[in-house]
Amino acid sequence: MSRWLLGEFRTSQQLLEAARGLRARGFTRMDALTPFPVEGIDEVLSLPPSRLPLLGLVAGVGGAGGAYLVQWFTQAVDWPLDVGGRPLHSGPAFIPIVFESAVLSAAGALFLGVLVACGLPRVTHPFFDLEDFRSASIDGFWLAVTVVDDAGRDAADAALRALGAAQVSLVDEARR
Amino acid sequence: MSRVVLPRYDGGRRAMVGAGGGGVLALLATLVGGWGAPREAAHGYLFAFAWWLSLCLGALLILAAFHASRARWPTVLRRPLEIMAACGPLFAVFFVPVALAMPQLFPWVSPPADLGAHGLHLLAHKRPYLNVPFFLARAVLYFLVWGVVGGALWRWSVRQDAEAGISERGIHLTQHQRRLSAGTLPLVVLCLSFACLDWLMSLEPLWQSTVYALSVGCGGVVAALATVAILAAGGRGPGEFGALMGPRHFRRLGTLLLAFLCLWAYCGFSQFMLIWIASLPEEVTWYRARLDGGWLPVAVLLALGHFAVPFFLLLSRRIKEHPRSLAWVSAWLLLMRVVDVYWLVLPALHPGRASFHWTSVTAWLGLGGLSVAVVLWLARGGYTVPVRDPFLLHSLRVPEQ
Repeated sequence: MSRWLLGEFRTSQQLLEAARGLRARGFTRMDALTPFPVEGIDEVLSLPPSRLPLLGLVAGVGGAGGAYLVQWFTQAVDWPLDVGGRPLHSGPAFIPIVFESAVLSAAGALFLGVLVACGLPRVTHPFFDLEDFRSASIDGFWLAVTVVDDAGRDAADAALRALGAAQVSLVDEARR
Repeated sequence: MSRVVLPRYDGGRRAMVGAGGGGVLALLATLVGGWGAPREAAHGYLFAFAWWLSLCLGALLILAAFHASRARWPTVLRRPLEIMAACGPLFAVFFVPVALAMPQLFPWVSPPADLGAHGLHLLAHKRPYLNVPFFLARAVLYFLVWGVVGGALWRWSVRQDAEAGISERGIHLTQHQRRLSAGTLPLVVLCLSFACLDWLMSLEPLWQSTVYALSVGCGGVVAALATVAILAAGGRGPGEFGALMGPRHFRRLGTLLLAFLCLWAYCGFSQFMLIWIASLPEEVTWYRARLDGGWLPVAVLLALGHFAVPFFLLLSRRIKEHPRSLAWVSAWLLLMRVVDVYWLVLPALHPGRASFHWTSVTAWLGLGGLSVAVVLWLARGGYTVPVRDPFLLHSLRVPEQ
């Protein structure tokens, strides 16, 4: 069961200041939900660097190695194929396929990786139960603070209001 | 808002004198070496000339490309590129020994009989293009184009520094730079392409490859970007442009380096693969000269050291954003450029037999010493960034992504 306090701010500057203020008050588990990327928010929230590039690297190298292996096995081992008198194991001729395959697998892995990292196949999220949260894709800058107990909830609520939140709501995953 | 005072650059006086003096001495040594071994010295000199010229032309290409694409973020690191690109006339002077050594360098000047009847017949066909007067006239045209474009871009940018603020005249100067770059970029690239064909490819006049010049040009851009990265990481003192660069500038610089590295490898490999798979006698000679007799380890070193290893290093954002790490990768790449140009030029002298003559080193040091001295002379007394460029502030606050 997760609980969040959602605070809406009117401008990206307010959001940045509020995130800084909350960190100064000791809140660390926060996320920002904004209509466009806000410069500097990553540093304020001290989000860990994305692991997606690593996925792309592994998939790319794997795709390249796999493509070379398949070509070598099918043309030099399993069914020796003489093309115009070239060697059966024609390394240079395999490289274009290796390159294409590396690009394809890296791009495919990143495409699917982003979807999985975004939480799919889950189709909704408790935040969307909040009618006003629609503004997160229009003109509202939202800050979500994860809270564990009632004391934390009250403290976060007070902090968000003190930092200038236009509205504060509690979202509870179990309530759905 | 912090305030940064940018003094003019007036260091490097001793380096300038030292590099210039050392360069003259090294060139004299090359001349002495050329007395005993004229062909070795001529090829060594051509290798050194091609390497240092590629730095100048690589800078001119990427600088003109920045202007033509109206790029704003590189404003902070533009000045070193401008100074390097303005060195075209210097290389026109450096070209004189190449022109004098033509009989030693280019077999088509007086075709040797061992080319065979077919080879001589082919060369006779190439006569309307490959003859001494037309060769020299083309060289004059190339240096004229590079000298005028590189010189104007540098001069306008320096003239802009003298404005009192961001003035209307200063904005006009920026517009001039952009229009000149966009208009002449095709001409500059065509001159580079034909120059590669004339000065490097015609060392083996019976061989041809259409991607050759592109590969050499990409190598030049790699060298120029690597030089900027080293200068930026090394010059982080007050008033030097490196101090104004943040991780984001270094990341973009590293990304451009990676892109041109990939393009170089793509051109080089596609040339190799097409020739390898077609396996035609008149085409494979060029690679036989560069793979047999001890050259193979050099070719493997190029594949690994000029592409594979730096490719994976430059994938890492942490390395690109860390000035010192990027500078080390760049220094390694400059060394690999030396190996690449050596591998392009020297096998023409002794095909299929790895050779080395000390005049290559002295010629490289000589031309390098003089080039560095001239660059320092151009840089001294000026700012290390285009201080009155209307986009400098934007460049200093480059947004994320």
